[in-house]
Amino acid sequence: MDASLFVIQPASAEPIYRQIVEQLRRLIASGQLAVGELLPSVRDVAGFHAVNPMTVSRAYSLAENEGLLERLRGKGMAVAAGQRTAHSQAARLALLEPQLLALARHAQELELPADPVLRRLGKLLGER
Amino acid sequence: MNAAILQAPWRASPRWTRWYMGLILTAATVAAVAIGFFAHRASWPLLAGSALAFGEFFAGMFLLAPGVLLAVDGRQLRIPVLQRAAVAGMALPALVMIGVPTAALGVAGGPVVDIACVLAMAVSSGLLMGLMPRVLCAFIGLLPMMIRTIGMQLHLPEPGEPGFVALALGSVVGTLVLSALCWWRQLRDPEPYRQGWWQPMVLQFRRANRASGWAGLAAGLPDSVQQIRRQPDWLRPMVDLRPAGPRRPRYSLRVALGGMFMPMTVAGRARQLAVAVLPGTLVMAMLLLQAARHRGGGISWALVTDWAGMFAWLGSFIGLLVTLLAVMQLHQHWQKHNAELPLLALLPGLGTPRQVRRELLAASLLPGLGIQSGVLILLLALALRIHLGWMAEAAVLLTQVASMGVLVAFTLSVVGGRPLRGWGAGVCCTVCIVLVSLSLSLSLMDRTAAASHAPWVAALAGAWALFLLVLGWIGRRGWHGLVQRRHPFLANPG
Amino acid sequence: MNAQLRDITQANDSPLAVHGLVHGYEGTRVLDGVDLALAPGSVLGLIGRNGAGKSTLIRAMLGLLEPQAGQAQVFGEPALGLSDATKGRLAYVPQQPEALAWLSATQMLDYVGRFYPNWDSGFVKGTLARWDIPASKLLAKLSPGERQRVDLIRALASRPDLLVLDEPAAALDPVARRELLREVALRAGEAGTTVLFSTHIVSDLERVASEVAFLHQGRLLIHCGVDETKERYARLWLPARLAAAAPSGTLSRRHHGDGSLCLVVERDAGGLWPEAAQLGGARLDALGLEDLFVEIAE
Repeated sequence: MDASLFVIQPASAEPIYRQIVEQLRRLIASGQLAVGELLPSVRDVAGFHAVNPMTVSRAYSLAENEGLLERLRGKGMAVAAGQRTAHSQAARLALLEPQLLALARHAQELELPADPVLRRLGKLLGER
Repeated sequence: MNAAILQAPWRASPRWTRWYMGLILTAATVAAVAIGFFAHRASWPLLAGSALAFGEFFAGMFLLAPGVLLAVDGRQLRIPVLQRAAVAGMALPALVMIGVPTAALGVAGGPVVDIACVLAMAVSSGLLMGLMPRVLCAFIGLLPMMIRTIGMQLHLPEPGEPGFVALALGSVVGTLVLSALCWWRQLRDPEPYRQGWWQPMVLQFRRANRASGWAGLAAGLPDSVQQIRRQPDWLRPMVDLRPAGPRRPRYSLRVALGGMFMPMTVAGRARQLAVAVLPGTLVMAMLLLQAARHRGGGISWALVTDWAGMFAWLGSFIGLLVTLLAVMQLHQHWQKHNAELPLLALLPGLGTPRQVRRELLAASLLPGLGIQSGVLILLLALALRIHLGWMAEAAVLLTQVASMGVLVAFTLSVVGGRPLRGWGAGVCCTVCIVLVSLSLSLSLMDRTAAASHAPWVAALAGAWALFLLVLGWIGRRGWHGLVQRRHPFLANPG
Repeated sequence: MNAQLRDITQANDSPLAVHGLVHGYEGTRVLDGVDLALAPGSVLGLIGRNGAGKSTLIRAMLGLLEPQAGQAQVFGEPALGLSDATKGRLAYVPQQPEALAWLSATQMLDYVGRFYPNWDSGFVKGTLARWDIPASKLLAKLSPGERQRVDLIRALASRPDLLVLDEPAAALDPVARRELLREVALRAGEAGTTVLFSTHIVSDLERVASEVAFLHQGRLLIHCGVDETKERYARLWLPARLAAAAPSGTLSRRHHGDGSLCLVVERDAGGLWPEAAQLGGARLDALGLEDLFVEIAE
């Protein structure tokens, strides 16, 4: 995997290290990053995105503490063995929580009743 | 076209040109009136007209030629009416400048046609001077002499003689055609605001004249970066970098000061000398040849004696020029905080603060002082060889020493962070130039005449003493500032 | 964070530290009592409006001007009297550099390089080629962007321990800017170079800076880690009926025409937002650095 794996938006209100951790969670939960797969080095990520290497290593350490990643001696960071390739449905749904909350808020602001919103959402999901 | 449009050229002119023009035209008018009062010859109106013509030449250059800037603006902004206004705004004052004095002098009994011709020639040549490529202006200094030389050979008619009117009209039409060509060229230029050797002189008039003191004196000169940007590539300074480095701090500082302080390769030095000295030598040679022809002999020491005064003047002004250039360059350096100062302040290897101070003074003073002492030795040798007399020798010595004194005092004041504020520097320079001129004129007179001027000589000596005292004070003040500074590379407040 | 910063101020080994800095020109105060210290290896982005005094602060920190009051130290030495050893560890690029305009890029880098003990001439050669700089053209004739990059090469080639850049990105196009940021980020991460740079392009700062300092009207309003700043400050909007409940001592407070109120609020020591944020109808928005800067500086 190379450094283009991550999408970094420096101007976002979310700190860059959190953006990286969040993306790691998703990639691992969805199985796009398999167990044991090596991550791009801190230098590669920092160089590719022109961000401070300390930010990247902070993100990696946080992910390590969460048990997402493990440090392989002499090789760098890899997806931790404890991670099942595909998470339980509940865990994956939890990752969608912020977007669902935002959706709910927007719907309330537009004073839309739940039914049409759910119908439309179902249609969108059904089309996949 | 309404009145507001006609006023546009005047409004577009910078304030300093208006002041300058007012001054020159007033002086020319005063001179013309004075000629009317004091000249008892019948031909005085023509003489007065010529005095006015002298002023109007500059009016053509500073007041009419900048019309092209307005026209260029009009073209760039796609406002055709502005282009027409620029032309109208030039034609109207030109007609007034030629018509009004001609009418006035005509009423006083002068030859109307001749006066109008002289004035028209002056105005149109002034206009051409402002519009033609800058590089040609360098040769304008040679023009009067060339006209004189050619005129003597071809027996061109002078005002009042038959054929003058035809000649004058011809030259006016010729100048106007050339001006129109230059105007058109500038208008069509894809980069009309670019300054360069082949661009008109008027482009320089846009530079705002805002600062006072040395900055005010320097306002006419572009700063070193712009100067280099404008130079053609073949004129680029050929610096000799080999000896630079921490082992040769003085040499390295000279590289960093640039311009006249910079150490150059032999080829570079030779080329610089050729560019600076060649035109001067050419003029001198022509003058000498002309003088030799007048005397009817070859070039001899007797001739050199005749010209001793000129050599003395030349030497003194070279000395002053060196001082002025050096101090203005240093002044520019010590005002920028994005150029050499931060680089030098943080450059390792220049030595302890005391060493840096010493080396900096050596690097900034010795190149100028070197040229000045060279000139001094040459002049003294010449003066001794042709027995100019002690007063002239003293004057030559004094003027060169004064240049050196001004150089030392003002260098210390700039580097020490205590430059003269406001008009102090300008006043100081003017006083110096006046003193040098007076001393030279007085000392080069006949000895008998000079003897009768003894009180003047005494007064002059007193003025010199006072001036040197003031220089001493400026220098001492600067030195104290320099010693108190933690390091010499701190910018002076603007 | 603040306690940690105070420790650094007192410690002598901070690469760059100022205390009680006051300076002004012709009666106006540009700097009004600034305390700032950089931790070794940190990348500090200095941000402020035009004329906020960023350049003056930087120049005072490096001993390029004599402040009216206060001390500046570089690696523990007084900034106005640096030793050659310290000067060799330090590189500074001023805003719109103009130095040595009469030399070509090669000549200038050769000349300057002779004075620095750690000069990397391989880096000079490689970077001149990589950044497409006409090396034999006189510096005066380069475009502002090219001139800026030559000076950046000069600064980076001395392999400094402390790199100070005043508006380094102002003259650069987006590609060149990204290259510069990459270089700065990697230097900081790998060689442990301490970096101070001023900018008003906030996204540059968010990429590479580890800390941010807001300079406003001669004072430092915030000096904090970039990530902490984003997590610690937010905008609180209160409708007119809740305006009375607004917490006091906020960083900025704006009244709207309809009586509603916009505040920049800060988490307390326990990481909690002020109570007003929990009231019904109140809205709390996360703030990017740019928004935060605009809210505070307006």
